[in-house]
Amino acid sequence: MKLLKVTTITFLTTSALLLMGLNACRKSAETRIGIIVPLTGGSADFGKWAHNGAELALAELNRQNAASGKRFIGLYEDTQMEPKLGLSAFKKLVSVDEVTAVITSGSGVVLAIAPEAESTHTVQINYSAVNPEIRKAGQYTFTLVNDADVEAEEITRFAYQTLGIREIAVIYANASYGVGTRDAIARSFSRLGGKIVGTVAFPEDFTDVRAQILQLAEMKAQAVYMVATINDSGRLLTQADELGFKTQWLSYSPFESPEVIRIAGAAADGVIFTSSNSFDLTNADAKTKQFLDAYVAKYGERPNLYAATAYDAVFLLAHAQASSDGTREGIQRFLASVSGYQGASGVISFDEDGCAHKPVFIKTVRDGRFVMYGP
Amino acid sequence: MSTQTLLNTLIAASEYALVGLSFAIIYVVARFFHFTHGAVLSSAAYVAYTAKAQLRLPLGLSIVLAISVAGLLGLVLELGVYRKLRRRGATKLTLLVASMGLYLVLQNAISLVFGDSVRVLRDLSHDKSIVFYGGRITNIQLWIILTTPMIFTLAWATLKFTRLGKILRAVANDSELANVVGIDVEKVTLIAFGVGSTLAGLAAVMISLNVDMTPTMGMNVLMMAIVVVIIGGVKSLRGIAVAAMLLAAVRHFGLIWIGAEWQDTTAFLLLSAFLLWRPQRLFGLPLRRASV
Repeated sequence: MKLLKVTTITFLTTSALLLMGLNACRKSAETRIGIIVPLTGGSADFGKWAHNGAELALAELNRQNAASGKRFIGLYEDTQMEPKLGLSAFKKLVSVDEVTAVITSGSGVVLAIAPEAESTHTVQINYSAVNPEIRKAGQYTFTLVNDADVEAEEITRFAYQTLGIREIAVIYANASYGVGTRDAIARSFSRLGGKIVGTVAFPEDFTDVRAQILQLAEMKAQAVYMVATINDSGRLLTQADELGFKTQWLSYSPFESPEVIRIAGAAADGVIFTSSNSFDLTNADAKTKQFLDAYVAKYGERPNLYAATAYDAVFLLAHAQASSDGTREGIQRFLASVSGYQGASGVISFDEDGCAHKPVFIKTVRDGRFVMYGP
Repeated sequence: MSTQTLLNTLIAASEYALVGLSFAIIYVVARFFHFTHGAVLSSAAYVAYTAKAQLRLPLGLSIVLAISVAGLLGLVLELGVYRKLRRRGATKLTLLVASMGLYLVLQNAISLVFGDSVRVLRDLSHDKSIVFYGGRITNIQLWIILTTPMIFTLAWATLKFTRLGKILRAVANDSELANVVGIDVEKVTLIAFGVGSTLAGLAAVMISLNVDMTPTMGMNVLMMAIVVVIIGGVKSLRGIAVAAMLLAAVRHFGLIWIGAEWQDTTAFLLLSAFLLWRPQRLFGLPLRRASV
């Protein structure tokens, strides 16, 4: 009986140690990347694009590293674009899953995570949020898209100098990115000598925005700058068209999505917007072309900017892991020194605030297609 | 501005009133907050979308299909979930929690199948506005404004003059007493779920033809409808109609004086004001202290 007990205890202890050893080996051969995105709710499309882009990058990395047995895994957490959910997801990924870096989205979420990223020395790469406040979020926050100030500078200069517009109204989503972009537009247009005649907010994922459109009509501005998600942009233009409200609509990068045209139809024609998206340019570089072809082959549709930035974020983190000592601080130091990295979303160089600058184009919608602005 | 604001108010009020009525029919009998009603609304819209945009069925047939599916879904929810829970002695709170859980499951199922992008049911090339005394209104908006009073009239006549109406009122007033006098309360509850959900289906189709659809559309409009039902009184058709007008007016005319970012807040401020200062609702009698 005693012998049986000893044998059982020995067997269990050996098994546990073996499992722990195997787990440690598996972990050492595994690079886990936390991906904190909205997978449900009104902004779930942002999560879907990031998921598609990240999965493509992870599959490529795993193929490239098949011989060495090193594996890259994406651990997804849903934020519903809610800062508090994003922060809980971050804490869980860092403390339970022991990830050394995360990919994030949504201005409110990125800003909520930033202090925790600083205190835990965990890098977050933001692939879509544009609130200029993110610039001050700390050395562990890196951003792959132009912030609202950069795009605001370009569109207001274009409106003022090329279109001769002197008065602008702003309609914006009542969320962190909406408020940040509204303020960026007001700052840069006022600097040029233009006047903001009024601003109107609307709730995200609205159904009826007609009251706000009537307010815009009352303002009689020469142009209206629209800060909205893709879904909301499409609905806003549709309802404005139904109300017979005609103006020169101006907008920013997220506008460039086929979804907007699908929702708004002809009502989207004539909108002028800034774009950091170079996918439709004939001179697209080899890396962008390779990403574009792989994406279309896997998902059967063209990617947008956020699929490309999420793809780049995964690759940047993989490079950081391989080229540094693998510690959280090492990853941060590597990313801070990235300069001239050729990604799918363009050339990436981080400035002293951890923000990448992408070239900005002025585009418009003509006959249901996004084209460069011009005669 | 004023004609257009008035028209916008009328459109919104009609939507709130219709959804409010569909919710109230179920509430007066079942006596719990049936949050899954929001998912029934969304489901109906997506059935119409599937039938029209994917199966290429005519719009009329798609609408009939969507409304029927909504009614059926209501019956399935009552028979398959709520009735079973009640028979196991579930409290109103249990039913409420079950309802919220079911809402989340259904809404996420819609997201999974259709994605979270806006889906368009209307025909983009044929949805032009009619100019009406300086304001603009589309055909579907005109339908919404005209259909809602017709449904309310029908509901009033049914409650007032038919046997079903009397039974519904009896159960709404006191379900135990109704049971004692031989009314099959379970059957009446099932009918209420069927009728309420069918009306939700009708509302969903009209709303999605007006402002398109997302998986969360049902809950967005249901929240406003619940405010309307609480302000107007769950048993008062007149109260629901007037409360819908009041809420829509506050949301649309209120923007003249306060920022648009407070639009949702005004709705809930109105609700709070009623709960604090007029708990007997719009047309209710003030409560008097009673002693036995």
